[in-house]
Amino acid sequence: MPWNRDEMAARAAREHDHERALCCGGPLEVQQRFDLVEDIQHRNIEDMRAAGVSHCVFNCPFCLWTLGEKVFKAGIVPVMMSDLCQRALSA
Amino acid sequence: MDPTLARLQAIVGAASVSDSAEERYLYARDQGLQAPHAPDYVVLPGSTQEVRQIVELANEKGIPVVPMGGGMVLSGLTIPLRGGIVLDMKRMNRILEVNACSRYAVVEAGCAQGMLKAYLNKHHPTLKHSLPDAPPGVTIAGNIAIHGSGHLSQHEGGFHSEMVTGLEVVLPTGEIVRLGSCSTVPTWHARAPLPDLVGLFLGWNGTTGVITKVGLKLFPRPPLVDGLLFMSADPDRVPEIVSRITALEVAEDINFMVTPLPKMFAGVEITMIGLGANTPEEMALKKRLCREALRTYWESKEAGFVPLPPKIREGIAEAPNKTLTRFADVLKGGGYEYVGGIIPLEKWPQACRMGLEIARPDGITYSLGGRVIGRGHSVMFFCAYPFNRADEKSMERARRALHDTNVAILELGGIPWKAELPAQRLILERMETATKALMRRIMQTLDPAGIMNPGNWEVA
Repeated sequence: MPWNRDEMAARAAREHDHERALCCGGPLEVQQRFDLVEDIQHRNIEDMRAAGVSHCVFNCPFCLWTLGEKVFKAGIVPVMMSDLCQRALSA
Repeated sequence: MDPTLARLQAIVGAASVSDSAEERYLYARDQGLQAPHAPDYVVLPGSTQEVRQIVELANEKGIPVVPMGGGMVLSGLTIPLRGGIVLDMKRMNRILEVNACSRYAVVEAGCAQGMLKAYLNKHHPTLKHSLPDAPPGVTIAGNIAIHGSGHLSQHEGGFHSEMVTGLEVVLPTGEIVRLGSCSTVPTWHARAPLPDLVGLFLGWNGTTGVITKVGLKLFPRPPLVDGLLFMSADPDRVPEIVSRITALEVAEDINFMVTPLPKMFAGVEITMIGLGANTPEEMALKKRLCREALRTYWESKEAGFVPLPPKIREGIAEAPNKTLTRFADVLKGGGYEYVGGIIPLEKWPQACRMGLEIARPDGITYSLGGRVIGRGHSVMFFCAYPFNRADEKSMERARRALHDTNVAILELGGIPWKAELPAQRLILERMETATKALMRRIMQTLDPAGIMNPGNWEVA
């Protein structure tokens, strides 16, 4: 379903963004640092919630694998940047 | 008209018996590598009484009878080696009872795995049964009769034959017997404490009677499923890895394998741990316990858990697991057979190397692995070889690989599972004389006319 151009939202103002962004947790999982994974993912999603976001846009498919399901369960729609672009172009 | 055909028609109705060339062609073979042999008649009984009448007729005429469930055993056990009647049980497919409190189901012998799964999903969503990694059309009775295993075999204590709570069987001489508690009281809740006669019909390849009803254990079905995947480069580590996980008693299913496809897994040992839980907290705890149990491996970077995309995680916990199905027709020739071997867990490293050695020289595409049975009490080792049915050389290579694998499994200290005829002979060559003599006495006692699936378990 193409998106309506008028409905395109702005980038949310988050505490953890740009140079302060939090990791999805995937590389930590690869490093077997399970002690850090849950904490960083929890903080990341809570920050999204606090910012009141409706969608979480992923640049990286590995991040989507790692965090997408948890984002969805938090009531936020996960979407890949490439899908977002495709939908924007078809709007 | 052939008088035997007329009598069979009188028993089951004209629509449920055939001696046509087309039917005989189809029932002469399965999907595996064993040579076809046509039956004289294909009969689909609709009730236990009809099975009894067919068996009595076969006894009178000395006609072989080959019971068949889904017909997907792959190792030719339902190919009628001496002709006669293939008794296709698929019309007897009713689910007769589900006892939700005592957690068992009673089904007719033609009831397919997928039928019971769908029925439980709809009517008893908190219950499930252990599913083999097979198409949904394979039958419950056929699977327990070959000592099949499935996705709850690790967690719930063993082979599917161990989950049987009772049987109804038509003996080769026509008597109908019930075994287990159902022989004495109305319920099918247990085999104990009576003399356990159920084993007379499990693992015998249909040579001792026709199973017509099965009582089967059901198990709780937690709403959440998930999976972990642990990767190691060294097959020698796998028994210890599996042993640590089974000791936790939290995993539903544990499988391990080596496979050239997908390429990301080539050259490594994969251990897949299926988990079930009632709450997210329980699932998180189970994952933490698994990770903690294998801490020494991942701390040393010798092996580790692999982050997985949701699709693959769902696949680990999926029942039946379709991983091998995707691999089965990789040569696009419609042919697939595998050797199963019931081996001790500690033999996996040797079994793994043996499988690769057999496959590589001929360039055979392989997939091999194991499913843990019980708390690591044994492993159903599989070594699968797809082949191109249109290419006789491809079939011959796969046939040779199967034979070499059967021999190697026995030399390792394992037993080929649902053994095709040549493998049955290999087993019998090694079996103790007194054991073979007992098998012969049992078969002669139960089947004095020698009509039941002759050629199988043929003790000289």
